[in-house]
Amino acid sequence: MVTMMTLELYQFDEISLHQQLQGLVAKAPRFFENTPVVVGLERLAQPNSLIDMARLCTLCAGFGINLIAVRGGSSAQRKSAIDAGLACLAAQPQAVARKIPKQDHSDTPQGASVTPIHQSSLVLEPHNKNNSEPGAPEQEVKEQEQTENPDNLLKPPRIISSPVRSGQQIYHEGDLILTGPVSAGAEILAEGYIHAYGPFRGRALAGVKGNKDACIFCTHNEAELVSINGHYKLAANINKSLWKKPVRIYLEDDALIIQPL
Amino acid sequence: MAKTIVITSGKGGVGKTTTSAALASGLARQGHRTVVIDFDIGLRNLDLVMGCERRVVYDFINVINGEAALHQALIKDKHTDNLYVLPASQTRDKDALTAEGVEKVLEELAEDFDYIICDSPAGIERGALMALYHADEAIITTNPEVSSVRDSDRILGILQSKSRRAELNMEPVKEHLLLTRYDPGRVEKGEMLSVEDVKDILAIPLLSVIPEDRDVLNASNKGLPVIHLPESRAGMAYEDAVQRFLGEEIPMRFTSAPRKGILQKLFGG
Repeated sequence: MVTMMTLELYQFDEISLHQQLQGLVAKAPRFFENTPVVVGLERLAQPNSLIDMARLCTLCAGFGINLIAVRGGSSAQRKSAIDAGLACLAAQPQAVARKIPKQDHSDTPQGASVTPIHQSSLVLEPHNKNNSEPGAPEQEVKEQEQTENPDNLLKPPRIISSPVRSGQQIYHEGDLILTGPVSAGAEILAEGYIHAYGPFRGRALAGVKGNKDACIFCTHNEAELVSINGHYKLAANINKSLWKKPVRIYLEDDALIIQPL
Repeated sequence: MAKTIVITSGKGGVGKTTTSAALASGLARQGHRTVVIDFDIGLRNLDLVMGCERRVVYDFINVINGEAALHQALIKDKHTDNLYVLPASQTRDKDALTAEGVEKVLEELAEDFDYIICDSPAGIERGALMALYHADEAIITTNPEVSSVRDSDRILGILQSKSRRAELNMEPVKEHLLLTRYDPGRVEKGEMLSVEDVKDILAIPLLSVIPEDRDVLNASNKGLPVIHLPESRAGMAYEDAVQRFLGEEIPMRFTSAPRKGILQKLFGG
């Protein structure tokens, strides 16, 4: 009996899956390191949809996830898998029967006219190769809700005018504006933008819930760490010429750019 | 209205107890009725520095537990009128400090005293939190080195979030920076953070700079607060701190290295 990680696919949408994996890797960078992963197809919302397994493999490989097999799926899907060099495993009876996690289509806000909110949902769990009973160890890593336009859900900006001290953490579901100093060892997390007008010596993490358009504006950059949407840079890796200078930090093609202002 | 002042730092060994003893003595010498409380339960240093360890009968914890009346535990200082010491217990630990107990003792002291000085233990555990909880003002004792400054910064954050004034949404605790063991010579050589560096990081007003001075250790060993040594540089700097705390505006001293005369340069010194 071998326990394996399973990537449970509900729908296949490359962009959304890419975002979800990115979020997961940002949270646990070594989660997938050298781990063989099985793709579960039993829970697909449209069981007969055509999935380009080769593209799925490439996408996953980009995150260090080594796909080795598919589980279940239609004959067309299994053929695509074999063409992509994957093995095929029998469908897991209880996987089909098991309730699909709540975050699926059922709670999609009504009237979302353009795109459904959950393009594909991801559940990773150790997969028992011999289809053992439900008592087998099981672990689910559910993804945060992904939306097409997270800005719509952001709260109004929050202004902090007192100094943020070492050991303090500030989290806001929107933009954060800091007019006082932020000390080394303090952590500023925003789902939106971060604007810092005092000396910034702490950690700045913007777009923490997967907003890659988020930016950090900082008039006096001495940050220990800056991060946007999970892409981060440490002070040691930031160009010395930008130290203590006003900067704008943004994401371009998944690369973190620190630009002098 | 009594003012409660906490002497705190986060880091140990930076001079909290020395400062508590000196400032309490200084305030009392100015005629203010002052009590200084040792919150370092289990270690008990303040009575040594104040030179009253042989007169400790009852302590802070005895009062909290109702085993002694407050006036039985208060020790009158022998160097200064108007000054009393409330010693820590050496046989108990910090868990004996209860929030209600501390509050009751402080309320009782507030009826008789102008200034209540709380000598905080190092760290950010219960003892330190209890010492700073009731503070109206805080004197952040900091050495000019990075770990001390970082810990002071941490304590400032705790003052802003966990003090009574923060919890009740009152006017925040008034913060003062006291830089101790300052050696301008080493600052010039780049071996020590400068006053400006520390002010820049902590961003709070500077109360005084206490120079590194052998007299501090000598005075502590003798059980005499250093402020009583009129020729000592540290004593003078503490006196300045008291004056500034009371609202006087006096220029900062001891922030630059004394210029050596030609003879000193030739013969060393």
